[in-house]
Amino acid sequence: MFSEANEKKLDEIMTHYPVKRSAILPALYIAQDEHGYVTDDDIRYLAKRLDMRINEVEEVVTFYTMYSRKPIGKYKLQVCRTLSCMLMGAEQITEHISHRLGCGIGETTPDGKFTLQEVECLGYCDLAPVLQVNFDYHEKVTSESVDKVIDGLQQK
Amino acid sequence: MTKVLTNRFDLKGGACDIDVYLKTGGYQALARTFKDFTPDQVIEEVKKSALRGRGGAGFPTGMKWGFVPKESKRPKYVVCNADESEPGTGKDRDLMRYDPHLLIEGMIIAAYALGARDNYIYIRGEYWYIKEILEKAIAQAYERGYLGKNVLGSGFECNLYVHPGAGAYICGEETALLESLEGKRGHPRLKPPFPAVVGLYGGPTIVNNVETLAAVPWIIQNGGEAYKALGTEKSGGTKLFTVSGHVNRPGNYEVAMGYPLMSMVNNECGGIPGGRKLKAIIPGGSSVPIITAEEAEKVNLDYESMGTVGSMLGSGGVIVMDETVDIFETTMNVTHFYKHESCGWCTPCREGTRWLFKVFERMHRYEGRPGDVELLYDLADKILGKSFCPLGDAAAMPVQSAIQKFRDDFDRRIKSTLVQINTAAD
Amino acid sequence: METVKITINGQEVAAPKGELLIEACEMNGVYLPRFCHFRGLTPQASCRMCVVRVDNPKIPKLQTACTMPVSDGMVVTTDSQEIEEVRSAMIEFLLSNHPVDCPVCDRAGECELQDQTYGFGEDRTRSQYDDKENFLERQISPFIYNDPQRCVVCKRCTRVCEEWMDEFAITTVNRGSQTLISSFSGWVECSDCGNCVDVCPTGTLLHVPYKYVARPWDLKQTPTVCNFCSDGCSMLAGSRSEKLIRTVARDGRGRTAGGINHDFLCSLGRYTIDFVHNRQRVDRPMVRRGEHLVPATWDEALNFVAQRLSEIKAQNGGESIGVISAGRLMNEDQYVLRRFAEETIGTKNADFYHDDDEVDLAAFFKYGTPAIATQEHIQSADTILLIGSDPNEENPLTAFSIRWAVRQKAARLVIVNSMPSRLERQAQTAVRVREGSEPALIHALVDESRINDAASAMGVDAGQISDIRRVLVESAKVVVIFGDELRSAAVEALALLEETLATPNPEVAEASRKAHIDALQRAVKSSNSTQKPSINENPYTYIVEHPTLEVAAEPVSSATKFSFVPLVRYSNSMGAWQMGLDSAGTGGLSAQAMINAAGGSIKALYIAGEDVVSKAGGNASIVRSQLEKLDLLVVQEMFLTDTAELADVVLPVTSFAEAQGTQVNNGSQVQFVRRTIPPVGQARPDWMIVTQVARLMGTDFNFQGQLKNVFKEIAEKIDGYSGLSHNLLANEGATIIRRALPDSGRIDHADLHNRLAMLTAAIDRSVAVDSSELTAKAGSRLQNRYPLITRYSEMISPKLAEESALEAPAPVIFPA
Ligand SMILES: Cc1cc2nc3c(=O)[nH]c(=O)nc-3n(C[C@H](O)[C@H](O)[C@H](O)COP(=O)(O)O)c2cc1C
Ligand code: SF4
Ligand code: FES
Repeated sequence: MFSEANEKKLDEIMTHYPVKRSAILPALYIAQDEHGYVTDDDIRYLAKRLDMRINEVEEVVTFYTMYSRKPIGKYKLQVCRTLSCMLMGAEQITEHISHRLGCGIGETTPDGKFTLQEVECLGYCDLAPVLQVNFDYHEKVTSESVDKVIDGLQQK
Repeated sequence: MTKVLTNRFDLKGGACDIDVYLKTGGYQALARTFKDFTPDQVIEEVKKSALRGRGGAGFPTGMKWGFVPKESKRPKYVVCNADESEPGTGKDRDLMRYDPHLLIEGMIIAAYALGARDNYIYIRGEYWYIKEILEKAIAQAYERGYLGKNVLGSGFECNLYVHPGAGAYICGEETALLESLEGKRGHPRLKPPFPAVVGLYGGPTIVNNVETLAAVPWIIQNGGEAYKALGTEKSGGTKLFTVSGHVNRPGNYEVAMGYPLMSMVNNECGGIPGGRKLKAIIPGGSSVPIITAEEAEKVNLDYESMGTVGSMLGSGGVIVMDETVDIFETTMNVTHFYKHESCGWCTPCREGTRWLFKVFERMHRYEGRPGDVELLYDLADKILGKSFCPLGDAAAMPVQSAIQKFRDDFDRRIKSTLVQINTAAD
Repeated sequence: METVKITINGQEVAAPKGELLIEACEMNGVYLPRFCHFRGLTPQASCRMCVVRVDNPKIPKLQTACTMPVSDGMVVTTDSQEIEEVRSAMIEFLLSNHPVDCPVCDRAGECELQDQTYGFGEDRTRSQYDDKENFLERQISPFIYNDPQRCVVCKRCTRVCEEWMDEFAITTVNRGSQTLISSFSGWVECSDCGNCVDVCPTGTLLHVPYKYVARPWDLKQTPTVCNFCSDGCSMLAGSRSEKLIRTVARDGRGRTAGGINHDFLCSLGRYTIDFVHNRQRVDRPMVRRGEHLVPATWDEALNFVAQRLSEIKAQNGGESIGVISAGRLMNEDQYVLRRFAEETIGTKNADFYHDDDEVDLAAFFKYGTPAIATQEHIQSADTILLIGSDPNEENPLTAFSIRWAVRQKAARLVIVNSMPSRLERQAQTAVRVREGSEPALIHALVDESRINDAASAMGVDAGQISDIRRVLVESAKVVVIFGDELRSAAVEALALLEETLATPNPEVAEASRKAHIDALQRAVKSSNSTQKPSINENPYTYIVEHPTLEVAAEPVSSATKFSFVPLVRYSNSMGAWQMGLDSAGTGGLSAQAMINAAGGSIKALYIAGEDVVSKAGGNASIVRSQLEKLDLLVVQEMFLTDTAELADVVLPVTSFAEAQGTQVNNGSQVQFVRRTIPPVGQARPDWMIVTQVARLMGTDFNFQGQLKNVFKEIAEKIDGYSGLSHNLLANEGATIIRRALPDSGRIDHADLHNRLAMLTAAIDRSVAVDSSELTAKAGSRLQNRYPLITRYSEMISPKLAEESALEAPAPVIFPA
């Protein structure tokens, strides 16, 4: 179901716990890594693999915000919207990106490259405002620095 | 000032590499533990230190450890709470990325004190690269025999795993964290039984914040009394604060307990930019009551002093707001956060936060109805103390304190009575 | 039962030790409002309605009574200004996003949210329409409709689905204010029991067949009993304008007295009832004119039957006539049929129809009446031994009780079966054996020296069988539930269990039980959710730490160590046997033998309610041609079944909804079935028709047309019924029929062991053991078992045909 390397990784992760289902959160990251989002098949597969019922996987996936049940862009541009970032101008950053990419909050660009999201506190309050691109961070961002980040990604 | 936690922050690249850590005195506390301490003596030492939980609740750590039953049919666990999701807080992040071994060492000592073989660090999913730093450090610790079947030849087996969360503030609450770690939705559990008695997989479990555990090696090395002496009588030791918002040098600062709040803002953080005036400070992460500039002047950074102005030390996230800030907007922002993060389990939190935000929304459009400010206050009152877990309180306290102290900012959002009557006649 | 003294609002009262405060209050007449609390489900404390103040021990915050076990000397206040404020605040919160569309909601009138708003809420609200967030309503299964905006997220539905049904077909998705009741695909795949809908306190989940059909206050609610499997669930039948509209479970402890099934009902009891009003019901008598059955008046039909029967009797003697009844007819029907056969016809050939592959009651009762276990006994057993059958498929309430016992009481469940069963997930030991080899288990149990041989016959390890034997020896109370897999001698030999596996001394039993519970506590299985939801899913809510209700209640137990549940097939098979309409008792031909003898020694058959042609399955054409050889075939039926179509006369009868009488379930409990609606068309109750035929033939049973007179006679004549009356049963609910225990002096031990040995020896040891997993959806076997009814239920039947190919239909989304 997953690539061989990822299957191995999952096997290893499962050794961490006395209960198989404990591995569900890390396993969902693997699924998301492989398919871009958590697909129906992923859920069926993981239910079998971790001895869970399909609904148990579904209820977990939908509880946590870092999983997506729908296809999203290759790069998730997540701007923190919570207090410290707001105080440091996060709103303008979001607006700027939205203008630049021509897509609203929660939307994906037509080329499927970017999804713009507003997220809650990322734990970088002292380095606000912060932009998270997939698992990478950009601290104390400005319109200019954000532009550079997007330029870089667009070239990839 | 004596530093307990941040000694290695200034090293280039921190102390992620075990050799750097060892060179700067790392793992000596662990060695000493095996040599000089029985598990009970470790707990005693921590009790003496007056160390209180740094995750927010400030519960005495030694006392919590003491609740773990000596005999248990199920395995015991030590779980590190690295979910760090209280808005305004980013201290655990730096502790882990600059000095991962300090946490690891603290955890091994805790595991030894409690007799736990398998232990977990539950880290928020957004800190993925820190998870990787930790995993590298753990691998090194295994290699050098600080973790594994026979720690430092003592016969004690200790394993440590890092478990990622996936975007849920509630998983910082210790029982929700355990649920999440078991592979379920992060709903808090009924207490009692407390995790120290029935926790992870039903076994006795200690959940401690990163900073709490990171203080343990120093306490072992220098003694509980010495640690306590660093702070005030009731609040021992030092504490790491994250200062964010309107200051010139935002960042993480370790200061002794009892340090004046404004000294930190003005000295460590270089004051407020542009010579603007201070309006308000949220001293302990977004969930604690906000305080005014005047109150900020007279308060010190310890549990008791914060109580005198009706606020709390919380997780140590200090959010500074200057005179340009509209407290209505900041409170709405925080309410959105709690609405978004409510797990949905209990009525007051699930429905209350939704309703609060609805009222905020219309006030935001300057369409507040007469009585809306009172409504906000009363809704918060009906959440406060009635929810299943403290998340409800966390949502209610900021609203109430903001209305109490910055009422003008709210009143401005109410549509004039005249307009109100017109719409009513429609 | 240990009780403690507690003080509620200044009054000292007694309560069972460890009982939840909310229940203890209710027992003492103080009702606390609640949404999430539901007796028998894991505590969840999410609605915050049941708050109380506890002064001893002093607790600073208000506490939820639904999670607090009572302790001696506890002092609580349940009514004060602060408590009232919390309650009305919670109601206000729950209504803050609720559409308050009671005028169009099916639940209005029996909605707990509505009731509690009246009882504990305010008469104003501060939330306004434009404050509300909309959610679309939608259908989520063939039977369930979901309007999420009405949801109070009490999760009774999801807990019922998991804890009662072991399905986990619905769950909560999303979080916070977006939390919804839904499932993986949005479409619910389950056994369609509908219990989630029944326990829902609001109009969030609704029955599709009942949607917009009636208002609860318009319904006449009649307590009655389900007519399908032998569990005999009590239910409330709702009718309006002479139409049966719905059935819901009758909670023995709450809403109406006397139920045996808590709030449980299965898909058949709930959704097949529309057969009653199926247009194909035979609504008037039919008599054969040449090729065709044509309508006739009752007089014509009855006279014709009486005259032909008399002629045949005169010509060939009474023994040439056979009487066959169905196991679902009520006691009164069976009893009158028996008298009819004996007195009017003068024949020994009278039998209720039971196949060879049904539980052999005659063998079971051969030496007397073993202690029979009711659902309550199952629910409080130490150890449950399930041999053969799959209650989850065929006796859903029994399966529910088994799960209950495992979950709430940490009962040990031992399964010995040749087929897969969902219950294996709850079992401590589940042994899959060779098909047809279940009888060997009994052999091994009553004769230790045969373990090796029996094990090899069953295709399992001898060790497994000795383990089972040891568990049984060490248990204090054992309920044995067995299906038709046990045959003749093996059924008889159940009577030997009591003497071979005698009660251990109390210490042994206690120690063994302790060890079992310890093992459960330790065992954190790798598959914690699917295998044993009761223990591993919630290690911390498991009974030892967190009493969930039942712990405190007095265990119900039988006088003997072993008690039994014979899983007979029909709602009143047990009653038919007790009424003596059984060829084993009369010494006549069995139903099958009568059919075989048709055209030979049997010239006429009087069949009440059994479709013997369809029942014959592959041999249907043989049975048909046999029936064609008869001089006379009289059939009492609701529908023109394959059998009825061959009849010379078809007499239309009432269904369970239109008839009155008593029936006996597999726990030997007799229950009163009330008339819910008047007869459809010209249908008459079976007993009445028979009485009328008898009168025309010259025998007057002297019932004066009164059903209660029939029962009066039953009470006088039938062992175990004395002292009972309709009146009593209607008021007291299910009542156990007690008869003399088996007399072991009558057992020829040597002979019985001999016959057991022959059974074991006859097992074909080349058959492979089936190790497959259950994949079909639960309950389909049950539906197939009652084709007579399910075929005529439009709710259930269309599905049967599609079943195999079934692709989930797209959920129907209605605009909000
Ligand atoms: C809603 C909520 C969120 C919390 N989030 C965190 C958190 O992110 N990190 C943390 O360490 N503790 C958090 N806590 C506190 C924990 O429940 C727990 O008290 C703490 O981990 C115990 O560790 P300590 O004694 O070392 O502080 C949270 C508590 C609540 C009620
Ligand atoms: S659907 Fe009904 S039973 Fe289920 S959570 Fe909502 S209100 Fe409760
Ligand atoms: S009934 Fe107690 S909280 Fe719901």
